Amino acid sequence: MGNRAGNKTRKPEADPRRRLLIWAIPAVVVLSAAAIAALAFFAPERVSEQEALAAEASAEPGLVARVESLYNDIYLYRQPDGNYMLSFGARRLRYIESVVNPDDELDLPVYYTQSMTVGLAYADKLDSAAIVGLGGGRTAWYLHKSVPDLDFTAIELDPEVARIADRYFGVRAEDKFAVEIRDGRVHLASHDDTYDLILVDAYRGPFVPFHLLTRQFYELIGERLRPGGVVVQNVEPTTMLFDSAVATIRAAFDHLAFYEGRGNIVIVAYNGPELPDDVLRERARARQAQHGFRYDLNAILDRTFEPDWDEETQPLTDDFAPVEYLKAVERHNRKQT
Amino acid sequence: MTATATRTPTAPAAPLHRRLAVGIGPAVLVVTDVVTLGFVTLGFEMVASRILTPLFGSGIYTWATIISIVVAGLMAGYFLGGIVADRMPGFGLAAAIKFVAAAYLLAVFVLTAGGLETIIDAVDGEIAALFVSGFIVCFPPLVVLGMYAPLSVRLLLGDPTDAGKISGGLFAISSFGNITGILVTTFFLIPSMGTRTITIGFAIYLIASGVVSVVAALVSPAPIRD
Repeated sequence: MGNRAGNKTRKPEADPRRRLLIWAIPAVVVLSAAAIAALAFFAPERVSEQEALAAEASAEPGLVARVESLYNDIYLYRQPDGNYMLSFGARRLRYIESVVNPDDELDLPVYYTQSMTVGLAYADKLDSAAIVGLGGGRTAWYLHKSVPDLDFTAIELDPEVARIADRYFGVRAEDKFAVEIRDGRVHLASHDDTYDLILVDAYRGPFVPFHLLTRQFYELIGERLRPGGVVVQNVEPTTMLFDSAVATIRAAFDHLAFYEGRGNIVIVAYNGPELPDDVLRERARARQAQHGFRYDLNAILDRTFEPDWDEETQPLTDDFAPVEYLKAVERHNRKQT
Repeated sequence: MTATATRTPTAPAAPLHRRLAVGIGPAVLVVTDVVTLGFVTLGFEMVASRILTPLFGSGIYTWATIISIVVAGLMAGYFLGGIVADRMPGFGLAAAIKFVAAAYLLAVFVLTAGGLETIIDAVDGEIAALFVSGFIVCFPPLVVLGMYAPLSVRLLLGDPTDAGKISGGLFAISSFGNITGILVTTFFLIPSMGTRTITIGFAIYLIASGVVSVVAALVSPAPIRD
């Protein structure tokens, strides 16, 4: 009551330090955001920027470019023999993805990539083909250049991988060769395009992304194959994942054939009537004569073999596909010839 | 020279467990819930990644979507849980949280039999479909599970001067549950059984745990001091 009569209560003075703090916090946030925006705006083109990183790390012999992409740490080396080597991984764990001869676009220095071309003998027609996992683009480019009328679609998840393939290896979109930057399964599921030949060679470091190694994925591949079409899959055979991969592909396709890839195994799978060996040989001879493949299709067919695998293995599904676990378990007491 | 400190004799403070709002039994139940619900929360995040990857790929966008929706669900859950916990503090609310979360996980189990793809097909645009499906799978259960965190503080806190110790301890215990949920789900559960089996397993656990909370609610119907 007394206060109301005479002594007016004065609002206490705000502490100047507190006032400073109130302004300082939003100022720091705004300045930080501005600094990040400026860095993003003035950042040089990505590959060039990463080349600068490589230049800094020039202590590493042969390193041409190092790119930190959304998905991988990518290292590009120039080997003493002149070939490029593309690898993914961290400082101590790098996995070779591709070896590329920049002076010869039809050279396939990695043995299994030659075996991947066996699909050319199996496919009923050679009008349209796709690859899931471009990598260095060697196999895709070989097929594109060897069969000029083939409509080829390369599907690659990582835009930086595709950019390196373009810049250093000359693998780029052109007439009859399209490059789609997207997850392979998502692309196939969202397009109705069909193919005579689909190659699957998608790895992230040592692992196959699990959704590209399930029964549902191979059933989708089957739906995207034209009558007489085939899928060709590269598989690394030293772990339990190999048995699961074979069981999974077998669950989705009527027929499987295996081709030796020196450290890898190439699996060919297709539906419909089984292709007898004489039909395959005749088709290979005709196509070899027509296209003059660098790697003779008949010689590639000679790489066929029957690997030992556990036929009791259950196929992988979208619901249950422990690819990382299976990849970690070595296959003991089994050998490929 | 020896300094002589003068000590004022005071009555020894009661240990923390005697200052809680509930007895030792219900307190153990709350702590167990905090660990196991933390386990289920981020264990289910790993399961969600396996549900969404076949539909949208394993790219960084899928992960960013899942993580952001999980955190958004927890954010909403913490906020709602704080309000509801003040109005209805008790084990009855804990039971309700668990039963609703379990019911939604059962719905996810049913949706992953093919219904989710049908819903996604109706959405235009890949990123929009990714967010919609991430929202459908992750958001509701995470909101509900997130509600338990403020409730757990409300259930245990008896003395306001212990608020820091109790809330900090419960957050740490919850984070421990999160860590074990991620690791055990990734390294043991996913390689051992299907994602749908894990989902239904989490739902069954939540139902069983909800029954325990119902019993606790019946035994100590109004344990909370104001």
